[in-house]
Amino acid sequence: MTLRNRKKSTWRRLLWQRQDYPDNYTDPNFIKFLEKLEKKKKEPRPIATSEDYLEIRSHFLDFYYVVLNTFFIFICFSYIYYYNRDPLPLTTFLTIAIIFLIKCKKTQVSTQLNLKSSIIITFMMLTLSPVLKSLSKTTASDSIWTLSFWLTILYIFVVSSSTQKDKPSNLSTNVLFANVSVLASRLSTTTEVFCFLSICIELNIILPKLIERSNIFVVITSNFIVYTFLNLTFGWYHMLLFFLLSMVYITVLPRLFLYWRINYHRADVEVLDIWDPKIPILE
Amino acid sequence: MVCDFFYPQLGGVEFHIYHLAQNLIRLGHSVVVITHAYKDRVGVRYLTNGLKVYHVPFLIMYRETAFPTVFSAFPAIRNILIREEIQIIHSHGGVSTFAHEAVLHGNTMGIRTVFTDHSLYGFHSTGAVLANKVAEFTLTNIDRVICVSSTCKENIVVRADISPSRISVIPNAVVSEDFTPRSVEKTINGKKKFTIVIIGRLFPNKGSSLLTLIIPSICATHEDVNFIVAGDGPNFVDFQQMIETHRLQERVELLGAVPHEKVRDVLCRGDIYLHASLTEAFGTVLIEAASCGLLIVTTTVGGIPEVLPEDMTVYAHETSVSSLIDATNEGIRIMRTGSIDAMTFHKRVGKMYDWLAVAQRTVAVYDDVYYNYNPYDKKWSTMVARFYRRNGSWARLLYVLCAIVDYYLYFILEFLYPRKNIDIAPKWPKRSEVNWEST
Repeated sequence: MTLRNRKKSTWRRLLWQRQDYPDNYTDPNFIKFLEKLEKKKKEPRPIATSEDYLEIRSHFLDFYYVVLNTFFIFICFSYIYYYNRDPLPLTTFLTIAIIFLIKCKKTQVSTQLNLKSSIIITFMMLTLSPVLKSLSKTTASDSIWTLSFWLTILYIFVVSSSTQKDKPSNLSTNVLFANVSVLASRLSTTTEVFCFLSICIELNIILPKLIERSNIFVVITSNFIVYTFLNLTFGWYHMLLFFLLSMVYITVLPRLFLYWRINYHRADVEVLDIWDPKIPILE
Repeated sequence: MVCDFFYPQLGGVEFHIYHLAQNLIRLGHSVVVITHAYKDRVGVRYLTNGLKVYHVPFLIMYRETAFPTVFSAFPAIRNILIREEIQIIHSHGGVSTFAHEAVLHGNTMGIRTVFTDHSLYGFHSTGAVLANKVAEFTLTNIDRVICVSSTCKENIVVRADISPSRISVIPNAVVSEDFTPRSVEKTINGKKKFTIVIIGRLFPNKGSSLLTLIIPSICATHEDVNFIVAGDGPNFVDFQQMIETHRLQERVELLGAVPHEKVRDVLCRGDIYLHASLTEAFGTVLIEAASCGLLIVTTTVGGIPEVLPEDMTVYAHETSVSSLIDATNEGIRIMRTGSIDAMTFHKRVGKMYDWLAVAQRTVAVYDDVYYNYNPYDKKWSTMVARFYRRNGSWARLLYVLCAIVDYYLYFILEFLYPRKNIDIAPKWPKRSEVNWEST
């Protein structure tokens, strides 16, 4: 064979040069790479440690707390709309509590919450309350509930998918505000609208910054309030249903997820990013 | 040739199919293209040299891709395959529904199949995972795969888990005559101005965010350098904003979308071609630009380092702004000193990348598929067994199910539309080879 006799130059990874190799010749380095991948696939799967489980569960719990927190919009709304209670004492109490908390933690949050902007926001809310009250007055209540439902789903999604823990994204704040303003038109007086608005902002935006959602006392209090609300408004069987569902979510799902991660997740996926689009480095 | 993407749409894959088909016809083969209908372009059309195109009416989903189904094109494809007495199916493009269907049905009908992949896919996004599963399904019983670069080949080996020896690397090519360099050196007031050209769809994965930072910086350091940006896309607005913020109206020209036949004219207005892509399987525009006598400044992603010799390119080894700026400065310095003669690029590129050579190499693949044919490969039981041996506990069962349903459909179609009732299409009269030699 003439081809054999001639001394072959080594294969180069180039397209512009016709080389003395067949078109289906494979880069020897790549064959080594493939063998390595094969080996990596055969490696025994790592054993799940309790730390892994705890980490995954804490992520699941975070989402649960977000859902609980969102519940407070509706608890507060029912408190005013359904039970016809006067929201003023509750608002006053919450505001004082929050001011007290801010005073205690002054050093950390003073940059984010200063007095001047708080006063401006409060006055803006006062001005806006009558507008909000009449904004969707002509819309049927059913449409309002549907709209509010989808806005809540969107809010939960946005809040739980935002990466920065301490600073909620503008989008989530806006969705919350949209939700609240949609609901506000069902309330009867401007005071109620103002109180509802400020309670929602305090509970969903300011409070999560001041206190840790996973703090045991906070968890117990919010669980207690939510379950009491469910029991009083929907009856005990709905409360039980919610309880069972959340128990399954907290205890079973993280285990399933961990099992999937270990047994079904492609083990070699970490080394396969060579073909991904490169990330632009913008200095 | 089967692909969703073909004339009247224009793009890399479309040109690849067209030029390959033309050169195969030139080599004496009969070529038929199957694609979906483009608006009122339905039915059979003929292009240059009797290249027959079937535009099959089909629901279009997104960016001219047919609605993803597994079996629905079977009747039409079977009919065409029988009418045209097809011996080899050559599908193009990893996201083309028609391409995948044709391979599946072709295998069912016992026809040899070849697949060409034109792009790279990752492993992390949901879309990529889906595309990989589909590729795994289609390529299980493929006879041969063609890739446009070694990087692309390695990508598909890992994606679809097929033997590397079944994959050939055959690059794209360039019609050298369409990309000739400009004839006269342009000088303005006796002093030479340099122009940097950027051509490409302005998408994030083409490095638009990098370009919008590089252009002002280069403009600030070099008084005599201007930019031409051709192409449209979601990031077009960013370029407009960049021009306005830095007041570069005089120095940066935004052309918007440019038809392919005008690309040469745009390229010829420049001296340096800047390519900031973040992913690239081959980069045809690079050889087009080099053919027009431009120095190439590019990132080293994907298959780009394989495409052109070192002296035609300046590489930025990172996809960072600073690295690309350094590379561009180096390119400008080289052009200023005139240490390379970019006008020789045209001849060299023409020798490197020629469609006729591509067609010949492709024919070699076809010959291999056709003459080294093992009837055992296309036995239904063998093909089902191959599907069953795939990875993925659920996916492989789904593959088997799809294959078996396809066999059933084949029987039903043979019964409803018997083979003997399908007319055989007369072939386009062949011109003799002598005629070709003289042209």
